[in-house]
Amino acid sequence: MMYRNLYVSRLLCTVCVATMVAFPFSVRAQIPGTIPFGGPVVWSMPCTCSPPLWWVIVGPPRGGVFSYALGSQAFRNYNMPLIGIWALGLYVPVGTCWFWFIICVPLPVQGTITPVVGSSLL
Amino acid sequence: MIHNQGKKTLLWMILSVFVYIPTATHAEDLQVTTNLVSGDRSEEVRVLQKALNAIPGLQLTTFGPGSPGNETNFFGALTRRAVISFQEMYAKDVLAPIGLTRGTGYVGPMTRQKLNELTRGQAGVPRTTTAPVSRENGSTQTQNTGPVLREGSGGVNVYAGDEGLESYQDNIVSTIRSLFRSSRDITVDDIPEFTQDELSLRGMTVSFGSVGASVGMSVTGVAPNQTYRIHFGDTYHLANVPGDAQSIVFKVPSIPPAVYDVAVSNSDGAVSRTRPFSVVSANTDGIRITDARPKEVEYGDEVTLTGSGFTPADNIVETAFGRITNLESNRDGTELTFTFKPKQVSMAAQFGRGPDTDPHETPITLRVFNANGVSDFFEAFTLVI
Repeated sequence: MMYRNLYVSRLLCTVCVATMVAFPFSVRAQIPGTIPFGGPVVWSMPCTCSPPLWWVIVGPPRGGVFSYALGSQAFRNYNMPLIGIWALGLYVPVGTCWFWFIICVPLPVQGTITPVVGSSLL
Repeated sequence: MIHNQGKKTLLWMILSVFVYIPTATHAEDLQVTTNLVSGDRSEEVRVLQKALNAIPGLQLTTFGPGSPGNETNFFGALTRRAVISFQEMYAKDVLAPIGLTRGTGYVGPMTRQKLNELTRGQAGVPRTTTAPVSRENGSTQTQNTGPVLREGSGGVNVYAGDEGLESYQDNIVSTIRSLFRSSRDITVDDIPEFTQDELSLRGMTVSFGSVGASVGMSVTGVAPNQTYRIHFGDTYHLANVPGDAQSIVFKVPSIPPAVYDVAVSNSDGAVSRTRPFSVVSANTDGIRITDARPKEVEYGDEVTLTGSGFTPADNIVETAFGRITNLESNRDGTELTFTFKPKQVSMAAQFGRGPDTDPHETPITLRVFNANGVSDFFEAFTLVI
């Protein structure tokens, strides 16, 4: 009985390891409720009624229009949302950016970039 | 044996003189080499005015400052009007490639290219007249396989990628302004979409190097078994550089120390955006920034960097908001002053911020490029909006 349990344990362990080795990219590290994005930052400007948010446009391959809280970036190179860099990360599909133009006017966003974002050097 | 060695050395010195002497730019050429905009004050503006005055029908004015023979160093309304006329006169070459129909008055790379072609008298001639310059082991690179250094841009508009992004950004600003005025709700669909560049230069392994150093480039759109051109401004290009999967590796060719706008192009004429790259001599002491004043900066303020290794001219400050080019240092190369007016905050600066709203405080990191190399990143000041 003990040998049988040992055999089953070894078999399970081997299957697990083999699965991880064979399909390493099938594991998704996405946080529930977040959506991945990535591409070059092609425009950014401050949300002058809602600091420290910036209004950011990311180009293809997986871009969009986002808001981003300045300084919230958790991964290098800590230079979001500056034009010319490439960014890769997650956003949540809610957000806002208000810009002062006689009154505070909302600029549209597809979501807010989370701290889970990394960026290239300049 | 020693006698032969001496002869070889003498021959080499003579060859070097013949190779380097012709690299001087013609002093009488009216070549505009930097981007210019209304309000600029520099000798380049005088060159621009002379170039415009040399084109029939584009004289700034027939008398007084700006007239032929009375060109000034100030880019004012007369200069701007003449630039717009020039751009619209040559709209097919200057405006159409970047999707514009009306002149802007901004002297960017396309305007400069056309202007320089016309004032040079013949199109397509490189800015400098040089003998072949790539001379590893004393021989000129003329083989058909492997990278080959050539003068000029090979007919490619090296700045087309930069102009595409600039044009997109101008489009964003004008779209937002008109949407604000329309007083209707703005949606994501109203925001112009950015078209992916066929070739996109994502980064380089180093930002400076001496002749022979290896440089890696990460470029989307690059494929194995194809060759590309690496451009060094519009002055030189390395042709026949093999690509790999989304990357290119090249060796710094034998070109004069300077900062070059490096870009990649393919055989279809697609060109990436540029990045500054400094070709340095082996014995440079480099650049060091030790201080920046003031510590709090608003849009349009002057900033002075203190340090060492700044060259008398052609310094570039690269900030997170773009590059500020053609900067002159003080006499001993210890101070560099520039005006900070990033396009991204121009609207915010114009309209101000909402009432009872805290200011945006953005830390600005920058570095300096010149023929001495590149400084380390320096946390210079806080931009207050």
